[in-house]
Amino acid sequence: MTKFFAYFNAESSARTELLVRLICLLFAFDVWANPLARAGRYGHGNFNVAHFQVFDFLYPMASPRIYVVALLLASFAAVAVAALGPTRWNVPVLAASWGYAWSSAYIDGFQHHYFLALVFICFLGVPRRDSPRVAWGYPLMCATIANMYFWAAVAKTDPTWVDGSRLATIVGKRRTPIEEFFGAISLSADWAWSAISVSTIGVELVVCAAYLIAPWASKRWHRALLWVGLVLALSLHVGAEFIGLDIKWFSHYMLILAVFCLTPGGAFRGWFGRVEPRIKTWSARLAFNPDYKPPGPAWLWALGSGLAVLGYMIPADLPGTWDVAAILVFVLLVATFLGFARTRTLAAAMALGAAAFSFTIDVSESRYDYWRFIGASSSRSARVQPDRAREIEHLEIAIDAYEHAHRHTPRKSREDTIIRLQRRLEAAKK
Amino acid sequence: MKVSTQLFIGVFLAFQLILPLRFYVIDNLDERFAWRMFINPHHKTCTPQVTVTAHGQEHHVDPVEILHPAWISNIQENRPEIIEPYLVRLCDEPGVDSVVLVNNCTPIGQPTDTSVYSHDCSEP
Repeated sequence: MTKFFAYFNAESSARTELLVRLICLLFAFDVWANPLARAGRYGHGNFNVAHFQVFDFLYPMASPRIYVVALLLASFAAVAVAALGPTRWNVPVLAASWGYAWSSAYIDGFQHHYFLALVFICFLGVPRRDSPRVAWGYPLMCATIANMYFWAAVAKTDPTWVDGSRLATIVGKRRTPIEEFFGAISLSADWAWSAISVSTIGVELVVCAAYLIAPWASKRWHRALLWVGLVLALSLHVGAEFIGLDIKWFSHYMLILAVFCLTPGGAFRGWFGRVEPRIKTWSARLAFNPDYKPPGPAWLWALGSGLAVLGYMIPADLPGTWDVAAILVFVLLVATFLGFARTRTLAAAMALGAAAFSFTIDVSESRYDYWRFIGASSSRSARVQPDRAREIEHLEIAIDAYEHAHRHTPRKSREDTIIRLQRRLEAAKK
Repeated sequence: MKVSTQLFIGVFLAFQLILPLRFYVIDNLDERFAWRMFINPHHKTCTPQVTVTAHGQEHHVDPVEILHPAWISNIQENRPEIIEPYLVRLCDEPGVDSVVLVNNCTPIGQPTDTSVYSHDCSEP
């Protein structure tokens, strides 16, 4: 048993902190671009089922506002981790708020959301500057990733996967050019799809083994396994992106994890050693040097950041952004009042995070989708309501949502939809 | 390493190992924790028919009246953990005495079977 737990006592290196920061940065943008758009379905019709029954008793009834608040708290905690590194407060806030957001509704069926919930729990055990000896998080994360690859390989022993038919179906539009390529190199399409499918099982098992060995790779064969695992993991996830699988940003996470966990130590140090001297910018010193104090009093930084947070978040036109803006301003005030050593870095991170949030919900169209999805589901609900008052209520919600969507529309006007719904509303009121 | 940390790691790993196993041993419909990305699910395709008795009179209900479409696919997969809370939720509607959901399901390559769920709203 002692030997088993010794696995989780691996010495952690600077790469763990870099990895944690990078994953958190990606996660923040992911939240703003993807899950936020689906917040409108939470608590619809005053109905919800959590992933685990016990949470139905513990959690309040889901609502778009509560879900957005949880998502934004998680994303801003992630921004804080990316800027300050893991601390005793930012990682728990991240793990708890994302854990809640994911587990609060059964309809969040994205496997990488569950995966991230597990990874953030592992982040609780990565070394912190105030507690550098805590080191179980990195090996536990590697074991978690290995477990995922193992079960993914087991799942692919399904006959529909082994015979290649499933893979041929999920590549969609790219099937024809790929099969033309098989023909050009004299391979039967059925055989080639099956061969690729079966080889994926082997690839996933090798990557699983590489992740298991990653925290303790010291021998020559360990390093060889890591290199093989790295190449296979990269090819697997780049391949998934190439064939256009609808898995949102899952591949991005897995590529970052593979590069940081599976690159053997010496090669990683060599690469980082070449890059590090070039990172001497003001922002890098602010993020990586805890002793660096930029000019100006901390309260001025907090004040400027608070104003930026309010300025970017209040006009965001999403439920819950006011609440999160207020929480962030409160946190900045508390940090200033208590004399938190890195208030300036935190302030800069929150202001930049708020600006990035505002930019991302616009560019990714997640805010537009949020309102458009509510409009579509309410309009559909209105059609089947036997009760006139309820039909009117749903139509009013749909019109309001489409009016919001229209304000943020990236291309297609929603005016026609709004006019059509208004006609339906007038007819319902007669 | 502290005993509490060891205990946490043990429980955390056991949880991750057992949940996918549950799919293969107990419930081969619940894929949420089984890492079955891109695998053809063994899902049933069901057509639900919901009948509500209110003030002594029966009438049919379209699930979309209350549920967001995202939940409907779970009912079409005959997931009792969603169907039962849905029936309880229907009892919150004024005057509803009882609710019955009949799910006519066609598992892939098998004949249609019927699942019946009911809830008496006078029960807690």
